[in-house]
Amino acid sequence: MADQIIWKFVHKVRRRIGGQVVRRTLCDVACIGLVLACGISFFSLFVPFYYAVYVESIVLGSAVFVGIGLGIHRVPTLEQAALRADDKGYQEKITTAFGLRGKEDPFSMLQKQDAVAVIADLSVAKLFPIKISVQRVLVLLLLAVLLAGGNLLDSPSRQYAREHHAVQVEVKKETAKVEKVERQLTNKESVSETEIAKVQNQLEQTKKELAKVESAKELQQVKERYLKKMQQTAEQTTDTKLRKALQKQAKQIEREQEEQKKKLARDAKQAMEQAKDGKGKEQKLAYDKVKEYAQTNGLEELETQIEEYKQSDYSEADYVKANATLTRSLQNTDRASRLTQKNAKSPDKRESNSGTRMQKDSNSESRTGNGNSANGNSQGRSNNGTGSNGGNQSGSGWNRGSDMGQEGNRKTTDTVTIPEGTLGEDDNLTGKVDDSGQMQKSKTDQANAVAGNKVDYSKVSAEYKQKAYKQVDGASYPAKLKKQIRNYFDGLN
Amino acid sequence: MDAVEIQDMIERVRACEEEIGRGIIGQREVIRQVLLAILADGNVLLEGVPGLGKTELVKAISNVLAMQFSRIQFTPDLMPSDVTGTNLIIKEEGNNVFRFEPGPVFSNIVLADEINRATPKTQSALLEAMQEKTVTVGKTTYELPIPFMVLATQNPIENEGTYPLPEAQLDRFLLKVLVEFPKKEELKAILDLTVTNHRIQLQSRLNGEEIVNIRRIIRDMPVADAVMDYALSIVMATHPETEDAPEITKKYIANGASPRGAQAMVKTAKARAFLEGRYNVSFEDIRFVAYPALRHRLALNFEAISDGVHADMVIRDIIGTIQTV
Repeated sequence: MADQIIWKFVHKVRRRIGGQVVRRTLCDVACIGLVLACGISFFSLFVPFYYAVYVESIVLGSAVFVGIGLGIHRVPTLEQAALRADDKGYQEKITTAFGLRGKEDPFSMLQKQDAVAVIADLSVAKLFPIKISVQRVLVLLLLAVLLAGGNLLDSPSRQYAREHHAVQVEVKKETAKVEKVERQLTNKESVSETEIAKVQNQLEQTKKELAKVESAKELQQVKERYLKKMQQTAEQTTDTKLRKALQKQAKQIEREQEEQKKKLARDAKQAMEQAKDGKGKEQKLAYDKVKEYAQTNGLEELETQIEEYKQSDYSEADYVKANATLTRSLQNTDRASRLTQKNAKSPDKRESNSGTRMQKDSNSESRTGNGNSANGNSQGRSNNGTGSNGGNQSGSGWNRGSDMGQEGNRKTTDTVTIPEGTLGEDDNLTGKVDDSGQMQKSKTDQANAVAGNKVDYSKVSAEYKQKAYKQVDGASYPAKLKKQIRNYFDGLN
Repeated sequence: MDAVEIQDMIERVRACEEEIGRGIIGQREVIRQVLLAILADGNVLLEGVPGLGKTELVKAISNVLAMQFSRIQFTPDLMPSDVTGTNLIIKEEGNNVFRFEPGPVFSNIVLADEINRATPKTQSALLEAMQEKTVTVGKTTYELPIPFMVLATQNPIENEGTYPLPEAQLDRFLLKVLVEFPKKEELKAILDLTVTNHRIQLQSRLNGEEIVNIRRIIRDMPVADAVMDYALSIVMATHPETEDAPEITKKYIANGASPRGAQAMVKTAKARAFLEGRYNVSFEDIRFVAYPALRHRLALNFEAISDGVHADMVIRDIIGTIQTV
């Protein structure tokens, strides 16, 4: 009987102390975890680290687990619990009685009775009251507030990390798509190994380019270049099945890109509308969406304006300016899209080399006709790159087309800015096959040009036109199409 | 044995303590420690300057305990046979025969006064009596009366003409009790008692048989493992050669306490618990008895002596370093 009473009491004491030990250890380790998480949070304020919040969560979660584990490990044994109870001034009566379990000699019985008499007046709750260290709790709260605050703060590093991460996610998706295409083409048994090897080489090149991508702009360029390579390869190949397969893939990619652009445009427009009467959160969202849209479409003017909108702490004036540019850009996109659809339905357009190229040509028309079309930027690039089929022009054609598209109503005395980025960095397919059967590549047709320099617009357009004429004359296009192309280049002046 | 019987014993021992306290002014701790040694079946070495009432204390104890008492004044010319006794030639029925004449050691309580004044040869005559409770003369071993205990006194300040007790003999004393100079009020009370005709007659409270019975009860007292571990940890901590010995041990102790030190601590702690009316030994009991049980068992090195460090300081530090919970 005495044994049971003592055993139960010691168990109660152990549970009580154990609970306290676990709580205290958890609190201490959680504090350490919070300090670490705060450190990570503040680190991410200055150094781009997208996964900071995830790592913080892992650190905190681990701290909680470690705290509980360590606390359980530190729960006293029954003997230690008995000693802790005796430490309250009971002169080791409980410990001794606990150690005498099962002993029936007179002295042991007397000792146990003595211990039971002591226990009878004891309340474990009073003996070991739950102590909440105000200091600990305050430190914990302070750290939690600090962490929450740290995570809510925004900084250029965090912004960069977010953007970079979004790009990397997109890069992964694109890489997966490229790999899928690679698999599909490789599995085609009817296609010759040489052709397959060529395509594979191009796809590998694209994957390498994707791996180097650091910004949305670069990603967009790579995607467009990839599309163009697919189209060019489709034109170059003598294998009908491969051509069809490539054309199919190219169409699909093009469709996806269009869809993505449309979605971005929709999101940007919607976000801007919400930002009109919204507060900081909506304005920030509008900034993010419009910036993404601008970067993806290479709309530098819009990008600059939306940056100014943010810099001015979302001022009304800058909002109006950015919104106007966005609206104009969306209208152009919409018009171009309609024209594309119209041209795609036209039977004589479909007679030309490929459906993809015909769409581009149509876009070129619309851009030329509409003048100052920001969206014409990418349209012009595709047109020149794909349609020229004339070696070096494909790479450089993008850059020039880009500027011309944006500034289509310039006078001949205007200058054209060579876009940022060192020319010649990218390998561009020339569209020509060398003696070994490999596709020729070119760095640029203006190797001596320095990025950021300005060249005379008339010189550029004249050269461009001359080269285009030469190419068109030497190519076996239908006469009607040749005329259309000449008209286009004539219209550039 | 039941609680009532034990409580009765406890009350009687406490009455003894009170009675001794009537005859000896102050020195409560000394009385308590000597009583503990008696209950724990051990010998006591009382150390103090002359005139502090060491001899009076022993006399008072012998009166209260109603046991046979003898006193040996140790001097340099004291011979071992003067302590143990000797064979005498006596004429018995016309024949000369040897007959053993017991010395003063054949008594329940032996007061070895100024034990360090006798030569080591005579000091060692007490060794067997203290440890084995027997005396061997010639080829015959004689049992000493039960209970038997030696209460020795020594003067710590006079070195000339003294023979410090060797470690082996010191180890046989259960406790070394330090007799301190009394406080002013106590001194006044001593004067009132000793320079007048007023005399206190002490009453006998316990006899030898009861003492033996109490000793048997005390030996049965349980000791928790944690408490036993604590006592052992203290003893182990006095050994400088052990890896986890405290710094003070490594610095000041040449040789640590022997296993007898641990035995002395636990035995005396049990006696203290009994005297406190408990059925178990506590950490506090161990701490209390650690000083008298260990102070004469620690051999301090030269550095300790030159730094003025004494055994009690070392023991205090050691106790401070050992955790109970």
